[in-house]
Amino acid sequence: MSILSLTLFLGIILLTLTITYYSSKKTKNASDFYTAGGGLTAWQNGLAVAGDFMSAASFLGITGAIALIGFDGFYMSIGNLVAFLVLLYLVSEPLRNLGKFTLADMISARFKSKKVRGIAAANTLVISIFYMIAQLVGAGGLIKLLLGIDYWLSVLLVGILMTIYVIFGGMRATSWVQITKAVLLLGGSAVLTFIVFSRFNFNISEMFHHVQTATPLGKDFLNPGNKYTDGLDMISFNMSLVLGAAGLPHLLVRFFTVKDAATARKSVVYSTWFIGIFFIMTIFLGFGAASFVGFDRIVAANSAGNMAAPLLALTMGGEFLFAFVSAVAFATILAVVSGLVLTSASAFAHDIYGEIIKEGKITEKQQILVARMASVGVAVISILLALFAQSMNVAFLSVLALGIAASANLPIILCTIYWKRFNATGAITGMLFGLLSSIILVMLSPNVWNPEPGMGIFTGNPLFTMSNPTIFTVPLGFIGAYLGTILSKAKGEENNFPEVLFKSNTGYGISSAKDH
Amino acid sequence: MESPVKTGHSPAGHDSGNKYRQLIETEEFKELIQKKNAFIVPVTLFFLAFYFVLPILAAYSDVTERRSLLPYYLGLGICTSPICRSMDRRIRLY
Repeated sequence: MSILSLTLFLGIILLTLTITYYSSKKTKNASDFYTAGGGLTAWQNGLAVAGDFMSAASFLGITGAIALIGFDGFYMSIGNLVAFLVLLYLVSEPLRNLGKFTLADMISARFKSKKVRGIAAANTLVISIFYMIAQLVGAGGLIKLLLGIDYWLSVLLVGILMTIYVIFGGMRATSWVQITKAVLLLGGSAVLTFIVFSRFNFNISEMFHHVQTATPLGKDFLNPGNKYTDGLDMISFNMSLVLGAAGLPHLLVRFFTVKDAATARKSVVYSTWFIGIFFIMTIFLGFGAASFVGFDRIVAANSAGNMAAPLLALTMGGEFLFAFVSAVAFATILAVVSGLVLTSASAFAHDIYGEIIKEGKITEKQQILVARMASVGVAVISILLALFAQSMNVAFLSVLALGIAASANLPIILCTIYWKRFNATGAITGMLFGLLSSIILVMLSPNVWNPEPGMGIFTGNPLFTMSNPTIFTVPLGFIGAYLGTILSKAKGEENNFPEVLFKSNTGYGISSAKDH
Repeated sequence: MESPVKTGHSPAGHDSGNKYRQLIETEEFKELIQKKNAFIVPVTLFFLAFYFVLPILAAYSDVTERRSLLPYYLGLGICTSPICRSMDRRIRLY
């Protein structure tokens, strides 16, 4: 590890710890801890939401995917961007108008049922922990490559830092770490994009022309089908990106960090600008890596292409740019996992402990204490699982997290807001159908069972041949909600629909999260 | 004085289920929902359909042999933000 790299990495750690120190002084009650007191402005939350989307998987993964497989790599970035339209009106506004701290709060606004809240919280925990293990395993491997330190030490370093941010600074620290990282990521990508574009004489058509001769794919580089050859699987993958992103708990809780639904909507609009600009830059970075780093060098460094962006920085700007981009990637990892720890801790402390076990009879002080303890617990479990999973191919965990979000969360959110007849039984069966079908089908898929050794967890033929089951599991989530509703005898819950309908559309009774 | 539907504030004591049932039956609220749904539902469905046409074309048609889908894809990405912005402006009018 060079002195320059070490200095920049330490600089990132120092900056984020300073943010945490100042945030901790302002974190005094449960609202501060869970939602930063609802005090973020639209552009701040927009940057933080964009930061959640622009994860290491986006920055390193999409750049690498575009460099290696061309057109098929675009699916990831566009799918996430389009998800914002679903978020904007179908989810963000009613969520902000009905919720308090967590996704389960919003569903419980309609159904005063411990079971509904418990399963919604369990879904949040499962999604967030699966997502976090995938991030931590990826982080361990990447930091090992970037800094040359052992895998276990990388995971431990990230794990300890994310825990410190959350337990001391809560949502305020998590949000500002996310905002800082988003600015660094956009800035670093902009510098790299400018250099790449200058090498093509600031001529788009020259870049597109050149890239068709720069990779082993030739002209097919700009056409679909280089990776996704099964049409149904590819459509299913796109569906998980669009609908899954709109049901991810760590993204949805971001809408509680602003004062009202109008600000929540506005922050989504800001996010689309930031992510849209980032999406365009990943094309330049991917094309630049394909042209100036080369297919063989990218694959030699990491077969998934995750080193394409840092290698491009090294080729274009030398040691300094390489160290800077690596430090930005590190900040990206830290920011995303912190958000996941906070979301999991909130689901446990607020929903399971505070509302189910203690039935809401819990003081602010106790609530924060439990949330901090839950943060440590979630972090320890995730770190241990990530250490255990070091040699496994855990890419399926991200697929699973997105699939569960699309199949268990989104149908229930939509039915809660828009379906008058919907009841608590339907909410429970809908969530369980979405959750279990996603887990079972992924466990039977080529992600887990693969004839090629090392490509899955086990070697063997899969019973379910698609790698992404979302095209089946989303309808199953809706079917579960429908069947549970019409087959159950419970009719009472629908009486609460007028209140949910009125509040979700007008924001009546909703003030800043500080006043909750 | 503005109505509760517009301001989002209901007079004190109107929190019971019956009051909400009355509020959602008001002409003003019904009009709000009708306007919102008439705008949100078609725009969201159109945009999702617009998006999913691309993977469907890529998977099940030979259109890629004749022309690149890249401009379509780039167009979709570039227009997302302006569409979101115009949707936000429109909804603020309600």
